[in-house]
Amino acid sequence: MNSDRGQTIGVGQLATLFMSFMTGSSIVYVPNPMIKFAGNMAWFSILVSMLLCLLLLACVLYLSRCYPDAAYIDYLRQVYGRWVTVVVIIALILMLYMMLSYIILGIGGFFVNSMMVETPMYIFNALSLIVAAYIVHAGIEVMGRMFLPLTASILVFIIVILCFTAPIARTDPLLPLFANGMKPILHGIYFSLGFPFAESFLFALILPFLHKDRRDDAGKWMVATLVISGILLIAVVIMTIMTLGPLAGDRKYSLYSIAR
Amino acid sequence: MLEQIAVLLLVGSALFARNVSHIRRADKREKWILGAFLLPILYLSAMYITDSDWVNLHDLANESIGLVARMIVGWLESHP
Repeated sequence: MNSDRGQTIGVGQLATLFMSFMTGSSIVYVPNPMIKFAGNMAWFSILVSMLLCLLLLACVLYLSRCYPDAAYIDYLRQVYGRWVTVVVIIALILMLYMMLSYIILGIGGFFVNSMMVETPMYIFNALSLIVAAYIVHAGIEVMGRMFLPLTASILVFIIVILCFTAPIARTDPLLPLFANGMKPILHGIYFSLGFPFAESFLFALILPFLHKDRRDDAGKWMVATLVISGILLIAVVIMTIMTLGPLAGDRKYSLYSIAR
Repeated sequence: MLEQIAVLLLVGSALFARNVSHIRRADKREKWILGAFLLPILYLSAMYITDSDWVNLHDLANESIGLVARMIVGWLESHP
């Protein structure tokens, strides 16, 4: 396995990884449950979640500035001591395992349910896992370089889909605002804060790999990336509501549905 | 069952084959830690092969924080 010691990434590559992390899965999986929970105010829930995530990101960036060369575990140990760190890290590892399994299941579920119905799910799960494992083996530098064209293609296709669906969109399904009160909106915030926004704290593990000369710029790039990811997600949710109308909460994989 | 075993062997060898040389060179502490990771892998592999519904991480999450999550969601879904 390639050791990650000594490998560094630039601030643009960090932003690309962050964009891919925030947008990659969530743009397909998040709109449908958000609309189911928050109705036509799902876009507002995402907006609030994004703003709350900015606070979280501020904490991550502050800690990174206080401990610029220390890994996440190191400064956790310095602040809280050994045993609290052990408990937190075990909980973190368990959470990451669960997140990994749900993401892999989600990828397999998407392909099986929408495109290749007769193919066994383990084919997609296995391929996803193997590709991910080899990317990790290759190291963070390769990851940073590789994700640029992938993320760019994701963004291009999202924008193309939104542009092509704009002519058939109607504004009626967006109204009335706050029809069912605040609870559905809070439900949407509770969901979207869990995935994908709160997971941005994981980038505390990636920030030490940033090149020393560009660490001062990390904050503004990450905030800009978060805002762009949030705007894209809001745009997809709004377009889903405007095109699918009452079916928006029922159709899984919203972006794929409106593209079809 | 044979299909599951074949999938497991193929995926396992693709994922872990590159680590074998690294594990051989690793010190004792690292070997113990990797061995600790092997235990849940073997358990979950057995669960997958036998298609059993044994206790897993999902159940652990449900029992620990699931109750609070269900209370929150229940309150959010209740009408005023």
